[in-house]
Amino acid sequence: MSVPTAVVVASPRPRRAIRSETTRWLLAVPAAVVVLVAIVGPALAPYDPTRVIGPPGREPFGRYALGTDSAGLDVLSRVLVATRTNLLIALAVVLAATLVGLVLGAAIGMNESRRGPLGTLARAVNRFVDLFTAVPAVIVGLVAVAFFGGTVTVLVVVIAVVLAPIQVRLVRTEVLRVRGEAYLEAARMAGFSELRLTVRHVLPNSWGAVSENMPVIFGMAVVLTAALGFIGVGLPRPTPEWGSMISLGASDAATGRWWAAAFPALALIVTVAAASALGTALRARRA
Amino acid sequence: MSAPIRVEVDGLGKDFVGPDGRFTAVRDQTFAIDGGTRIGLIGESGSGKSTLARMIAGLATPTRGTVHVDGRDVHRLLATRAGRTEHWRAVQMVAQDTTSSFDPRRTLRDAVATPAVRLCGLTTVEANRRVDETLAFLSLPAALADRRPSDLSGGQRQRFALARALVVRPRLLVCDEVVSALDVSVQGTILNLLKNYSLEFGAAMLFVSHGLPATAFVSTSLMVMRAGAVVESGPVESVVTAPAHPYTRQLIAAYRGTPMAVAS
Repeated sequence: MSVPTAVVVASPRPRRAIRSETTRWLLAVPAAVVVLVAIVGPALAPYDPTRVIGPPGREPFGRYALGTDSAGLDVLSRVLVATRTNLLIALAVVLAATLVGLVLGAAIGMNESRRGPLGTLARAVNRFVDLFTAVPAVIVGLVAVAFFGGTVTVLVVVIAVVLAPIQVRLVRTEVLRVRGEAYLEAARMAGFSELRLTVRHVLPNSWGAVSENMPVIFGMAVVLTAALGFIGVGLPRPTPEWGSMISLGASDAATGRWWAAAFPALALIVTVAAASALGTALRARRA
Repeated sequence: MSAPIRVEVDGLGKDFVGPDGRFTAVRDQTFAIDGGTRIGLIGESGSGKSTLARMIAGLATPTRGTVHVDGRDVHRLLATRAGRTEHWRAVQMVAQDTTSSFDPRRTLRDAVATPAVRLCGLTTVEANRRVDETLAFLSLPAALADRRPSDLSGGQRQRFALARALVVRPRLLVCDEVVSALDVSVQGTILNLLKNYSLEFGAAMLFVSHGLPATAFVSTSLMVMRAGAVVESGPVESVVTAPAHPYTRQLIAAYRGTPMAVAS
């Protein structure tokens, strides 16, 4: 006897759009807290983050709020000061990558379908940008830091160069969308040159998607800075920086002294998550 | 009334290169448009009307041939800033698309006033006065100008698109399917406005449409286009009453017996 069977297929639940204004503001709160820590944190640091202030490997939640690392440096002071360093590097990277993205993305998008040398150049730059996205960031970082030394400027330039192609491609896509709009022809008929109408109409109408991607770039920059610090090609020690702190504390964690690595790692995770939440809030604003 | 325009189209042709190879959209056309005349360019979809109109307006680059406005080559003129100002002050085009014809981030007043400032050299105050005059001519309430394009209906946006073109008082107005997407009552209003503008300012007009009644109502002469070439041209009455080309006869026959009688 055959038994009738029903096949139950789970349908993917559609992601609900965030409609509430309150939710959007709440999503921005973690980012505001992280920024606040970066601004006031160094002033609140109980000790000099680069000086030995006590015995090494002291447990947290005692005399030293987050303990001391294997060299006897105060973990809390170092995490607080590193927040400012890591955030400033990431912020500079976001600004540089977005600026490069706007200039190159607009130049490619507005010219790539042209005939003649300008079109050829735009298409060649586009291919080069595509090629560049395939280069591993850590390798670029290793080579650059080996050549130029581990300074904040070198780190910002290296990470911005690695992340800029993402913004370039995004701007280009947006420019290609806006380029077909009829109001650009109207702007041409008002006597605007291609450059002027790009600045006046194309870029402002491409800005929404680009600005929403800035928190994503920020998160990636934070992770890359820490990754370079972790493998020892970031800022020189003992400059407080999350990546090098995690690297130094990792060996202690194996012997049970988890705090020297865990707290900077937690700060890193919270910062990236806060940036991601801010990105979600920005995207929801336009949806 | 400004000096009448003289547009000479000489051997004008346009090819597009697509995945299936080279396609000729416009086959080397030669004709002239004089001040005050209103030419209706009619033909089926894909016949090359819009491409021809865009080349005459200076918005598309021809593959072959030239367009001269008052004896000056348009595509050379557009290479310089002074040339652009001179050309766009004389020639303006209004297209069918009303949804994307305005920058969503700017007000309609800004969109309409900008050509007046840039092309006519008016101050902001003078340009705003000119905008108000133009809106009044088009029976548009001035208060609407301070809104964004998304706040308006398709018909209102189309009239604002006309305002943006007419604010510089062009001597040639190119209209590409300007009423095709609008309902019949709005169509009538816009056609009357276009005709009035041409009569009042002595402007020439190139009216591109696939609808015969609207074209015949607005125009003084008709050009019938098929497969990239003008197959018949002449005064509206003679083309409508005594069509010479089989395609024109077919086109007119399609309207016979329909409620939309061909207007003369």
